[in-house]
Amino acid sequence: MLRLLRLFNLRHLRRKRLETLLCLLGIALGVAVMVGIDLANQNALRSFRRTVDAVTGRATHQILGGPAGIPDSLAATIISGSEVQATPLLEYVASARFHATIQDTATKMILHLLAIDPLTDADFRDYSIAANATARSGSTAMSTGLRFLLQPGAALVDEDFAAAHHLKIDDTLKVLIGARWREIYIAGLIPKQTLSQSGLDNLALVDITTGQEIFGRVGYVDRIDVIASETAARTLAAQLPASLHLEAPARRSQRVNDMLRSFRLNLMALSFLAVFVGMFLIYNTMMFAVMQRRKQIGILRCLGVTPRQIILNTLLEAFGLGVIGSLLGLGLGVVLADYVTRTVTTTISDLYVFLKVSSVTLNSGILTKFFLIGLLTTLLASAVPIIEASKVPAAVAVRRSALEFRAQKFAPRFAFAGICFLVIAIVLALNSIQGGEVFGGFFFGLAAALAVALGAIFLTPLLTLVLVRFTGVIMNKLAGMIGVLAARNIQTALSRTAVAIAALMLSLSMVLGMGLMIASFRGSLNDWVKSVLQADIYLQPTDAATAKWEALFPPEFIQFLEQQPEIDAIDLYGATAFTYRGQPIYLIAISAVVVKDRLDFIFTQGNDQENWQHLIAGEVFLSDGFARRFHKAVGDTVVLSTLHGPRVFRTAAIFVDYSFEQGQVMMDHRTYTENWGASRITNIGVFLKPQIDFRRYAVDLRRALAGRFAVQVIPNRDLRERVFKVFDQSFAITQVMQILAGVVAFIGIISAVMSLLVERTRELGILRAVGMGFGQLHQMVLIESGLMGALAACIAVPAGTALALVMIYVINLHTFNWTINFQINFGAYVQIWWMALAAALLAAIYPMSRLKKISIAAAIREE
Amino acid sequence: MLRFTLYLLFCAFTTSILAQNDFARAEKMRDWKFPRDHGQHPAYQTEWWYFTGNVKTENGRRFGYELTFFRQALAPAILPRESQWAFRDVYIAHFAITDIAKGKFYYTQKSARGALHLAGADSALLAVHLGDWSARQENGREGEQIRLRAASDFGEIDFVLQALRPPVFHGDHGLLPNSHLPGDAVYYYSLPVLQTTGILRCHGESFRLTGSSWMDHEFFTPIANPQVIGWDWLSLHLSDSTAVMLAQWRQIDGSISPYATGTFIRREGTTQIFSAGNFSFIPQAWWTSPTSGGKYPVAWKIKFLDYELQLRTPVANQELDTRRSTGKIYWEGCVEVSGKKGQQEIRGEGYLEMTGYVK
Amino acid sequence: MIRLENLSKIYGSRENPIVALHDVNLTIQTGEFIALYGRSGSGKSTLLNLLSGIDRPTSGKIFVHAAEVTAMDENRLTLYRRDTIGFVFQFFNLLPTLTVLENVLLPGQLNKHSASKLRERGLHLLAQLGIADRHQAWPDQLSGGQQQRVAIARALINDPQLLLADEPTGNLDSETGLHILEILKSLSANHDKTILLATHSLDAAQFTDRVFQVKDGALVAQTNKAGK
Repeated sequence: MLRLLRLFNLRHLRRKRLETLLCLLGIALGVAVMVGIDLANQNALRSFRRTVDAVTGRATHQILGGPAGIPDSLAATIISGSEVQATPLLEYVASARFHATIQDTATKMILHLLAIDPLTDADFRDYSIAANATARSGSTAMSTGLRFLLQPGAALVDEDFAAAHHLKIDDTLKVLIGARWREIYIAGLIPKQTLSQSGLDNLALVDITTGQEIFGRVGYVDRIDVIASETAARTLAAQLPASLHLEAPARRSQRVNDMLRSFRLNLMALSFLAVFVGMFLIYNTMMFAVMQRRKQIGILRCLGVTPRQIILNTLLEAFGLGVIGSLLGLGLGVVLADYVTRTVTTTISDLYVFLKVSSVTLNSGILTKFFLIGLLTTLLASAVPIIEASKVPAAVAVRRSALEFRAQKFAPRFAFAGICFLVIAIVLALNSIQGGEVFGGFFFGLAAALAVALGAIFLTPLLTLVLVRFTGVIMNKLAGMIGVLAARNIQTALSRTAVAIAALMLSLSMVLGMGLMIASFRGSLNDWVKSVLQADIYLQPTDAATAKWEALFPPEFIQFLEQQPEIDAIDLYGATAFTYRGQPIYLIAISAVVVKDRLDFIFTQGNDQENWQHLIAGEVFLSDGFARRFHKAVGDTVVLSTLHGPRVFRTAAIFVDYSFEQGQVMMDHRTYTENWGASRITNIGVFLKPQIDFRRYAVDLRRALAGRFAVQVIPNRDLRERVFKVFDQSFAITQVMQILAGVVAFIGIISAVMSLLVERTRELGILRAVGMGFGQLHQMVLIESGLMGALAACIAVPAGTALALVMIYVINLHTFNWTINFQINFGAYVQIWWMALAAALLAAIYPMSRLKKISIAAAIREE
Repeated sequence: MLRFTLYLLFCAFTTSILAQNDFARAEKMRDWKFPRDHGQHPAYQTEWWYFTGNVKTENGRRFGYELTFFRQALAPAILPRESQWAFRDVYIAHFAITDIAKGKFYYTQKSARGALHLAGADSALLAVHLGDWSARQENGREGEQIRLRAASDFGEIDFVLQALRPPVFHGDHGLLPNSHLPGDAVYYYSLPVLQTTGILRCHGESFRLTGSSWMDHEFFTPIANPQVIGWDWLSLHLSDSTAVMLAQWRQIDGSISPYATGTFIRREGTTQIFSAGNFSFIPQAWWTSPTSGGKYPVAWKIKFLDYELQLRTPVANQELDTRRSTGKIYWEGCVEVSGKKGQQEIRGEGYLEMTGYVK
Repeated sequence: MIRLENLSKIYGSRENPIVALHDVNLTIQTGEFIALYGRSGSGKSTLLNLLSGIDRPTSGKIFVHAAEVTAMDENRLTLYRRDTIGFVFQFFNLLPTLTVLENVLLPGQLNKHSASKLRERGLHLLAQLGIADRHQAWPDQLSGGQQQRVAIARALINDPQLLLADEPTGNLDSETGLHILEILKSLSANHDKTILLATHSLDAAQFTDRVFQVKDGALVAQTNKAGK
């Protein structure tokens, strides 16, 4: 019996080839979205983490100093005196170029420069030199090792890097460090085997002497690596002077992780969303697939097949579909992950740390996880309607109206549930706003958004009924009986149409919510940019692209600028990655006297002039993000660890900021220097004298700098453009989600329209029999589909707005730490309307083309 | 493929031939002056200060120790550099303790650049250090004395060494040729009898010890001699208050180099120099290292003057794998001898070094 | 006048043909009430389907008032169905999503008749058929007889010349069936409609002017009713 049933199912699948294909596509897309986002999430930081691990080697701990690093003498004392093994280190991520090819732009050659002391490093890292790597240097035969230790600029580079860029031993490389091109030459090669094991790419080793010299860091080391037992480490930590501290190397990747916290949260949210959308999509497709089978099931029941057999058999089919669909989804997901990883890597590289774009590594854990999720969702999605279908008495199963009657009866109950969800959303949002716990807050915010979505979904059936009844009247006027029929069809097939409308509504709400949020964000950012970016020209070391905030202007450059007669004032800006209560923040040093009258900081309170006076007197400004994150108000004190131990700073003011989501403590250069040593200048704002044309001056300045300093000269407007470019880039991945949501909705609508038509074959036959032409039939289908689209858009307007509010005032403010003012954006609303109608009308095209195939005689004979 | 540091130093030791020409060579007689000659001699590429000794507790529990500092110049002079990490000399130190009662041998090694006080040696007196390991001349209660300090995860020493004899010069007034090759010679003197007192900690246990140590100080500019595959070196303190140093170079054909030498130090401090024919130093039994595969003679028959001694090693495994620092695997450990001088029963303790036994 | 010439309909494949109609020739005068009598599967429904343009013959021609139905394209066929034909089915085939009146008006609306006049006519037809009071009801709220009367009203809304009824009483009890047949008869008699009634009941056939017996896809006998 079961075998016969199975045959029956296979025949069904073969006959309904398109429906089967849609169903598979639905499952595959659902799985793909989940796999894609999750894989990308896992992969984005992998290369960075591997580099950190490889550089860390066998070190169990690291000794770190303040922003300036550890002074040589202190480093030497620690290395000499400690009972544990210790070795000093400097690191820099520089762009490099082969000196024969002189180009002004930094090429794509990126070198991870590591300055080590080979004499104390042997126990930490297993770098080896290719054994035959002895080279000629002039007439003197000198071993690679000796050259490495003794000759300025000697470097060992990895074989892969050398091969990729056609570099040989003795070749000179220019590396961009701190706005200047420095020269290194290749003294030897590090063999591939060593590197592939350690996971380092693009590595260049230099002796610590060369390192200090080319990094412009003479007198300091970045850190000291230590191999020590836990007890020895504790003893060591206790002996360290106040300016140094000991930490586990894992803290370093952890710090980057912390720095990327909100970015990762964003990805995680997207990943959740992907799971949600994916499961919804699978549920949607499977439900349609089973519902189409109701009649068949009814017949089987009439023939005496037990419900159990039907359930088992149909589940078996769903299992087959689930396996194939999920496998397809894994493949699609990997392709998607590749794109998403690229986007994510670009964003992280733009904003946080330089990452090499790496191809996606498959993670069998993730693949298995989502394969199972795909399969289980498919089974679950089919189980609900299958069980329902198998339970109803044989005769009733044939007639769909019974179900529809129930669906309409349930609509108010669903609506009640929907209202409950909305109430929950409000409670969660308030909780998230009040709750201090950042991570918990994020989940509350996410839950609030989810509750809004669920609320809208559950309200959809009732709203559909109400709106359809209302539109029915209009439709009668507009399109007569055809319009009435179309509207009534939506109403009668509520169990299907409501699901399709909800799916479309959900994706439209997401698009609208994101759209409104992004537009509001952009608007707020624009206000800030206008008030804070007011210098005529901005300067940044070219190597900031790779070294981020480690790329510093050399003092010579500042002297050079100070001699320029066209310049009225210079704002020296120094950003330093710092830690406050174990969390990453930034210390910002500015030229307070220069900027106080030139920039319009948006302070939350207080008199501008007084605020600046306090800052100049040694107090600090906190960014709004910092204040929110650590619950600080004006007048509160902030304790920061300085070279002289912990010091208390009073908060003079709080200002709105969009440059660092981690939060920043801003101070005058003098305050910084007193506490952390020499100022680090990472950016410079140049104010020109009134009569100077900034465009012409930018050109002149570039020409004057050429060959001396590698500095990006960015006129004000270009910087503003760049700010928005980075902004848009960081939302690129969101667009992927929007597109996927659109596809989900589209598939939902297309399967809804299809199944509506398939089920109504007889009705269509009657309509044709009583004289309805194809044109009128098409008109009806289009109205039906378009009406569903319009209904979805109608419901999406409030739902999407609510989502935007949750994202702006709950998630962004309290988790991502951005202050955004909600701004109505008509474009976003218009966009979802045309998206809805376009999706709905497109979805009608294929079903319409199938109408011709209906045989009237056969259709009306069916009963 | 070799490990990084080893390779660097290996290259430094062997292939910087051209640069070597600019170093001074041990060729002329030296006008020895102390304490200046206890200090470093940067004109010569290689220099070492070797401390070995046998010590015991009041209850007679015996230990051996070795603390050695090597200085190796990478070049006669270096370019002026901005960074304070620039250096000319590599310093390497080996530290070993033999716990005879437990039959255990512990050793470790360190290296550092001669910069930023990470490691260095004074030119005016004996003061060499690498990190917190050091050998320093101090003014003690009984005049000049040497303070030795070293610590590692297995143990720690803090000894005061009092010289009971003046420096003893080997070879021809401290100039000892190693072969017929011109310039293949070393400047070499010893403080042969150093009364030793101090504290030794080994795996948490602390001991107050007394005993006697031996210091060798050599400096030279090495010349590769392909004929020589290794050497055996021995220092002994004998029960008749004499002391002796014996050294022989094993050649590639299995013979002993004619440049073998020895120095006998009488009770009152006068010396007698041996050349190849004056003594015999013959292996009797072998021990094979389970880690390196090296086959070392651990029992020897020794004859010089009217002494006939049987040497044995209380702990067979006193092998040091220092490929990471000096690039060598060698055996250096405490030994004991017993035998006769004529009819007189003689006993003694000392240190034996054997190199070139690992293929 | 309706003329069928050598009409044949063959289903199935060439190797295994199922002959539904074989070489049927028939001429019907305007206003005649004709019964096609035969057992289920005899070919009478096929004949009605071909006549109504729902189905196309394998060979042969159909002329209705000089127009050749078999030569019409799909668009003209749709208009032909809408204007010339009224169809009454065994299972009523009312649209469940439309009310009684809306069902009746549907073919008229497709013709874009004036809404108010159409509505008047629809109500009039329902009144004629005795179910005017139920015009706002949903089809599933009506009895079988009532539903069939609604179906008849729908068939008449565009004032067709030819009414085709396929077992209109097949799903009704005999008394209700009788009533429907009387309605049809009066339509033929008083409104000059040409009516083709397909039935397997000899009693039903007795209501008509002429009875053709259909067997295995062919017209085998014709009975002219006495008294006409």
